[in-house]
Amino acid sequence: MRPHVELIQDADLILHPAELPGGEGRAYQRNLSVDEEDGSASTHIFFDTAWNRPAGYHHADIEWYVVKGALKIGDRMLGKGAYIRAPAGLRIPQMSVAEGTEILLFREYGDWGFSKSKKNRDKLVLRGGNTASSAAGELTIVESHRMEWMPNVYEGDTQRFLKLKLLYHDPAPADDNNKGFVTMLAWAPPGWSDNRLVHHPVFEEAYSLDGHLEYNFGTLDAGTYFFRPAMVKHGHFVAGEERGWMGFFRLDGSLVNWITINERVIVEGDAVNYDPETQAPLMAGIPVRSRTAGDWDLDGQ
Amino acid sequence: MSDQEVDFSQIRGDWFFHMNYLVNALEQTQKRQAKLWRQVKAARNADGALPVDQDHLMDDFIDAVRMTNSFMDDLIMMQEQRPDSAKKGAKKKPAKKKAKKKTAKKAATKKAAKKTRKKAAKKK
Repeated sequence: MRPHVELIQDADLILHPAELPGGEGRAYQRNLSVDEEDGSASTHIFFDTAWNRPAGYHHADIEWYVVKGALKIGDRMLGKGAYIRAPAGLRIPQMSVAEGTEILLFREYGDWGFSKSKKNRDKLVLRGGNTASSAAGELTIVESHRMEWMPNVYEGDTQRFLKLKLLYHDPAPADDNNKGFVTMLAWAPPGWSDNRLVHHPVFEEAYSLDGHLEYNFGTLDAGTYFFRPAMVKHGHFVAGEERGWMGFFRLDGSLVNWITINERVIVEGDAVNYDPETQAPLMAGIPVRSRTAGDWDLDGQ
Repeated sequence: MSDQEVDFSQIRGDWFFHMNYLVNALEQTQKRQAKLWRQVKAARNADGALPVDQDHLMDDFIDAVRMTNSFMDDLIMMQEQRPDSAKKGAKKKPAKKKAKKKTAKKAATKKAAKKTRKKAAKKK
């Protein structure tokens, strides 16, 4: 269970020693969001010195996005905008990272573990922890700065004018939106707006890379981040002029857009011993629950 | 480029709203592209070579061009879905009808006034 984080500014967070076992070199990380039950985490990593690590496999599905600097995976040199993904158990080549490099590192369905190895963990390594496919997983390397922006046909027509660069796509089957995975860059062009509210059947997570976007939870500038569990409404969007807004997105399934308009909240109750004008209670959001505790039935919300 | 018709009813706003947005977005993006190109040219070396070693500048310029390019699909989509009321000459038709009405009303008023004058002259 990841908490609903919305929204934080990366620079407000403290630094921890980076969770990169098996590597040599010094790195630190900020924890954008963490699942304390299965070890999934979204982090921003800063390489204080050059860093390298031999070939092996991770214990979680991992994704790296280069925000700044350079790295080498096998024989391939990659720079800003590069994206690497490997499912848990897939052996990936030796890696080395230049001093001063910054990456966004995401791990899903597992913890920070890494095993040095010449081969995969298992004979068949699937695409990922949420896949519906029986196909073998692969190492994905994309240089996003070489890609064209595509129209947002992926989401249907509700937000057609957004632009995307699809970095990784494990499709959801037709009968189950909540399977598969999507990672992409999304760009809201200058002046793009949508005054409606929307929610999805899957989690949605984004790190702001550039620009400015106003919406119901506040302002997204570069360095801001959110992790939004499924079914949480969001909207009233207005993208800034000149650059619009760009973010790195992850979703655990098919992004269906369910739209709400004319929204209203009616809260009723009799205040027995407090002033409802100045001492009214807050509406509870989505408190973090672990699997044994189960879901909250919203009593008393 | 649009291989299937976009359902505008799924998007907030009408064709004119989207067209205004698109014009603004294209202008802003082209402005940024032009600004970055001026910076790229200003950073040329003595031989006139472009600053390929200043990665940040060239990367930003290349991405700005890609952003401008991305609107071409939107322009084609808007062309294909242009409503009748947005086509050239469409606005003139209602104006003609109004003029006919006005002329007819004017003629009727004139006729009535003539009738009144004749009646008044007969009485005298």
